[in-house]
Amino acid sequence: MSNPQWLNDIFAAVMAAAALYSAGRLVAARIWSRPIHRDVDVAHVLMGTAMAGMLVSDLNPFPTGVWEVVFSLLATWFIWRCYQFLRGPNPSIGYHQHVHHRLSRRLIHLVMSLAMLYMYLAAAPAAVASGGSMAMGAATGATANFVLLPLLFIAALFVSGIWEVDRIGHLSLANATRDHAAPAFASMSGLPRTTAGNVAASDLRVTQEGPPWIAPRLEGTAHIAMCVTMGYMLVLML
Amino acid sequence: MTSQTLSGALGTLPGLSSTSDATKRQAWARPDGRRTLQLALATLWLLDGVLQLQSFFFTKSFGLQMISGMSLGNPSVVARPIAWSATTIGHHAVFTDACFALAQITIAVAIAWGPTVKIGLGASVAWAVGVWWIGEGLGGVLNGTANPLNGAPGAVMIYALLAVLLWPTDRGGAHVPYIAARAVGAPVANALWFVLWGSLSYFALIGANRSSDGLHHLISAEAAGEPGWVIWIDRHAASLVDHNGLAVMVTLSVLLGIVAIGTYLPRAPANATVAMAAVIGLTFWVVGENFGALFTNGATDVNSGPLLILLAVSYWRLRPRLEPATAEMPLGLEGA
Repeated sequence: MSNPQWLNDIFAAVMAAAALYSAGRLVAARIWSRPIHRDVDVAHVLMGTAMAGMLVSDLNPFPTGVWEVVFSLLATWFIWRCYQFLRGPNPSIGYHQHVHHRLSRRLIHLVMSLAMLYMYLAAAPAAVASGGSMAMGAATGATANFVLLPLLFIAALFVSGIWEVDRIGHLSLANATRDHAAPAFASMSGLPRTTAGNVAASDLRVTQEGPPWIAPRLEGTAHIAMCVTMGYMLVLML
Repeated sequence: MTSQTLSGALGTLPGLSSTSDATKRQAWARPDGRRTLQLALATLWLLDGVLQLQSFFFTKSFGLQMISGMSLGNPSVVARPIAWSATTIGHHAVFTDACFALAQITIAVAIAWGPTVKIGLGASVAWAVGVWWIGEGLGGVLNGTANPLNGAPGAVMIYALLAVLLWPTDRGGAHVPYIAARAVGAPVANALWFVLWGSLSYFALIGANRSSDGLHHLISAEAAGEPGWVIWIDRHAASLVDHNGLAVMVTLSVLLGIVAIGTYLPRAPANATVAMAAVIGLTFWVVGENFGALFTNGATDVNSGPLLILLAVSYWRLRPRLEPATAEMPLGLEGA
């Protein structure tokens, strides 16, 4: 039993659009010298392309093995980013300046990278059995005993997606600019996980409005689309 | 960075000058307890909506087997609309299921999106009542098959209850003991808790639930289609209660009754019963509901376990806070 192809086509179209948009952000940020979260946008490009290819095999540009390597590297990168955060803010990274994209954002992209890896590893045996197609389907055999793992991925993805919906209404260009100093205030108000040492003097010295972040609400929308689509694909694999 | 934008980040930051209304509106703050529970409820709705997109629900079997089966044993006035709906859904499976999924995802987004939270919660109540009737046959309440261990009186009614209790108004006064009391006040919230858990206590002892093998058969039947490790849990749980069904259900009924009454106790024992409620909810979810049967590709929701836990969290009594006037008393006045 397989899902209607039109449904997979819709999700694939959304993912292709999200990947194209994220690629556009990377180009626009370079041309206009505007800040973005480069690794997040790169991750969205890769995940969007990969999921579109999993949903509609004609859109898949690379073989499964390549994707497995790509998402292994991406997961390693986000593990490193989490480690960097836990070790302390690094002014050269620029990432620390945006409170909405701190540890939680790095963790969820780590989870998303691992979920992509899971989907390829779990779907590969079925793909071989069905002649190479990456059609999503319920887990079978030994994979069926690991269904708690995708359930955890689904829970994390949907929590992140819903929290992003809550937050997205509050994001704006004005907020994005203001967020240059957000960590300092967040620390003072005890919001995110920061120590007094993280109330860095360099943060407090940010007194000028820099160039605004590129469309943070659209970035959030792309993230929500990623979370829902990935959750959908994982649900089909339960 | 201007002082205007600085104050927007915290809402109110001493020493900073006035903030524009626009900045105040846009300032994002960490969700409070009630908003966090609303977002958790929205997450469950989103999961339900996506579960509805599983392949089984796009087939005739969803209407003609699953929905139709809900009419069995129910009074005619309840069963006829179910039978009509089952036929309609069965014959237009793709369209109706797509609509169902879209409705639930829309409810999730509406609750999560701040400006539409009331619309989302209101829609979730209306949707839940409809699903309780058509999709769950009133949770087996009228045909005597309700068993709290496998989700009675219907998980979807707990969605509705949570939507009411998490409604974003404050009718409970300035000093509400727990989150669920904020919208409706402590007396009404206590009564709703008592009715829910009291009814679970009652359902534990009706019909076949009292028989010595009823519980064993119930747990054994749940194993179909589950992965090996879930079957292992079911097999061991079923053997544990074999021939002891009556004793287990009487004990469960007593525990559920204690939870029901617990809401009227002082803070510490009330919290103990709330914690017990959460543990019972988790036990139901793992043993009786097999994680909402999520691994069988036929689950429309997570079943009642997670919702009972969410409900318990909303009834957790927090330690009373110091009055702001006391907390911020100038040092020079202390001991005066």
